Amino acid sequence: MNKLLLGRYVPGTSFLHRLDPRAKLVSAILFIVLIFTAENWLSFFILWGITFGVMHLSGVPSSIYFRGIKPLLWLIIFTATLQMLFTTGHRNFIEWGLITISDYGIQTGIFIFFRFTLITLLSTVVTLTTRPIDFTDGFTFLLKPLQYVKVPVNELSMMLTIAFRFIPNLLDETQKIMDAQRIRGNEFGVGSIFQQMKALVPVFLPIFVNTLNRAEELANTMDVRGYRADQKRSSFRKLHWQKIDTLCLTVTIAIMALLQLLNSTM
Amino acid sequence: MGKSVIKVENLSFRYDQRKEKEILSSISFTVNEGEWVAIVGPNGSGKSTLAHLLAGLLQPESGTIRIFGKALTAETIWEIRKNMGIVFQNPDHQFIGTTVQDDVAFGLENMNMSYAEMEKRVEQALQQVGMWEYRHTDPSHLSGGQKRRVTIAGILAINPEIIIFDEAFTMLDPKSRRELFSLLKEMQAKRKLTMISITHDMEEASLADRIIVLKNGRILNTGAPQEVFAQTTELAAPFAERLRRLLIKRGRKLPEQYMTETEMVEWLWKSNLPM
Amino acid sequence: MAMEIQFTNVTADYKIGPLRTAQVLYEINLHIPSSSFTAIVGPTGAGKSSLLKTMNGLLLPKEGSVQVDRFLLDQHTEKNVLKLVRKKVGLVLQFPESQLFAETVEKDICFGPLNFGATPQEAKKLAIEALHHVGLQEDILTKSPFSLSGGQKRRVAIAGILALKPEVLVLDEPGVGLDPEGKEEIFQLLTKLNRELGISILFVSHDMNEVARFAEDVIVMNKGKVTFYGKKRELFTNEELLTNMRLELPDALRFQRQFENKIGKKLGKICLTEEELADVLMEEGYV
Repeated sequence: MNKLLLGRYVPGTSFLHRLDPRAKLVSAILFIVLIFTAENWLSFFILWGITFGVMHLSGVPSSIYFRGIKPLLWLIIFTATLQMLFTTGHRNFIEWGLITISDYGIQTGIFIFFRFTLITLLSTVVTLTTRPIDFTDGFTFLLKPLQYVKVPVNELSMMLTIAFRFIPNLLDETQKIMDAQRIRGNEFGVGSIFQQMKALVPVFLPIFVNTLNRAEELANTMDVRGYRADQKRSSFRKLHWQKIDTLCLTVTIAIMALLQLLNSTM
Repeated sequence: MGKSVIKVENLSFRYDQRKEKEILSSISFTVNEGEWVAIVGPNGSGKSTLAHLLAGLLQPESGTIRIFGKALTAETIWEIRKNMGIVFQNPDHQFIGTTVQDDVAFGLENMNMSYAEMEKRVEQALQQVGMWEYRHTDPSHLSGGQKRRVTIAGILAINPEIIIFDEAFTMLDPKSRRELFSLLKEMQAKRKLTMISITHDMEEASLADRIIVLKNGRILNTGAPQEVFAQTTELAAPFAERLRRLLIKRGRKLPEQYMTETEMVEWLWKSNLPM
Repeated sequence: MAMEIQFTNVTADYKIGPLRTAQVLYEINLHIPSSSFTAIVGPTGAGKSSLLKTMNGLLLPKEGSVQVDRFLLDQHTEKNVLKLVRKKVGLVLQFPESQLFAETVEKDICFGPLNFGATPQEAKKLAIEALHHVGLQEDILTKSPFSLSGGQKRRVAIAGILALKPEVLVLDEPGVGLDPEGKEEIFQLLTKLNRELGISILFVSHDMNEVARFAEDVIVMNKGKVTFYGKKRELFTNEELLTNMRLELPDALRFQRQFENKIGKKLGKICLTEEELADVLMEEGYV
């Protein structure tokens, strides 16, 4: 759980760190759409180029990215392999029962591999360069229109804020309790599945109890500081839309148009 | 002293109505405007329950709590909270904002305050507790004493008339504790704040204007620190008082009443002046 | 009981996922003798907790080594050796009551011994023994640990470590958050363990009164380095170091300094407790 990079923020001052979260989120969503709709090698070539460019811009060493996606890599390869084995095409190289390896299958497999890897890398770039709280603010802003159809956007946003705020605490706490039980000779990740599950009981129970206590104290604090879900609140945090944000969005849309053009002419 | 801002009458409480044992039995006291009252007692004396009752987080079984002359009820509580702040024991469980300034602003956001006003209040509050340079820091990266300062700033920002400290300083080291106490003294003088400290730290209690000693849910004694420390010998006392008691036990002649550290040094010095 | 700990050029840091933190310990050289009673002090982030963890193998040195008895702890130490070290060096983390998990106090205390291969009968015997060491009665064994008071919970958690029969006990702020009586009880029991069973005690503290009253030696840490290691009286005599490290004075010494300033004369001895101060004031005829 500690090896996963997705969802972690690395402080910095890069161009990407300075972007408004709304610009970053919208661009990221547009790119994810692009990645999903890409159908040819040239589009993927361009998307890989852009992803590497963005990773470079984040100022975080690429070795960290690859170590970060390693835990997910097997899952991606597994999915891609399944595609490869069960898709038929013009030319089938091997046919063995349900399994066929075809030219089309190989291409689909590789494309799927590309899609998932690119999406993981791109979302990692976003979370690495966006403070969770900015992420929440951007998210809240983008969801605002939903208020008119009675979606409790502000409450959702408060929930997200608190969740982000407590994830690091929860991870620290888990580490601490695991250490405490390790001191008492508890071993993790050894033996049969049953033994491994059993070794987790002394970790999960205290975490459960401590989290409940913590939640109660937090709820009390919010209460006495006058938080009421049904009341209108102002916001101290402000998002600042700057020129670079407009620029970022324009470039994204331009790339989108370009790729669309490529797709339709090929 | 000024008018009373908190008036507690015949307050009783049990967590479990089926059980006989009362956590608090028929407690009455008042706290005056601008007064600093320490409520002390061992674990299990009911002092923490009292804090939760005053904060409106628990409902009394019988008796009333009046704050600013208004009875504390589900209807009045939100109005009262706009003028009252409460600091709980563990600062780590109390941060909502991800930066120091966001956290300080939380109470103000809840009042739906304008941005310009919030900006002013947040700066004032952080300046007052000496944490303005840390405004962009993640609160979890601060030391214990700094975290406590930030929680206090969050309360000062709403400009309350009453602050309740529920064992707010027990997690701190003596040095940060002492620094915060002088900050509290300063706040009390400057802002005419009414403060209630719920604590088992006798040094904290000795700084208050008045001490209420709780034991098994009842008020055992109440009075100025010097009276309470002299009368209630079962209470652990601040250092100078412990030294005074020890010297008397060893047969030396010392003044009968409680002395602060400075007073005791002064007395020792005077009694050694050449005649 | 001969149980020494030797730090040789220990440097350490933490891994957080794919990222590494800054160094937490730099070139630590220490020799901690058997049956000693040592306080570890220093500002937040000085590396005090990390120092404790290296003694128990929770944090392994990146460079250098820690020798515990006949076991060597470094990057290459194997799991079974780690387990042996953990039995010898009991580590009590900060707020240890947060690790209690079992339905009864008995099961919680037996958890450690059972993990280290004790039979249920042996474990129960160890649990009762440990419970006596922390000054609790046997009737608590069948209670739920969650129903106890704060001070009792902490003592049960410490009993959970004592049941492993460690020869060294290291504790991270054992008194923090407890009321004065609770604190006193914890330190009384540590003193007893040290004097009667010869167990070495190392504890992290921010409270100089605890240090002055209970420890014999003091390790002062700052920015991952050891800046002082010696007898406590030596530390409290060293005014320059106390000021540089921004260490508080114990109550008695603070009182003594005020009094000395007032009379313009030094007392014959550095006083660390009220008893010592009372003695000196009486001996020198001030009262």
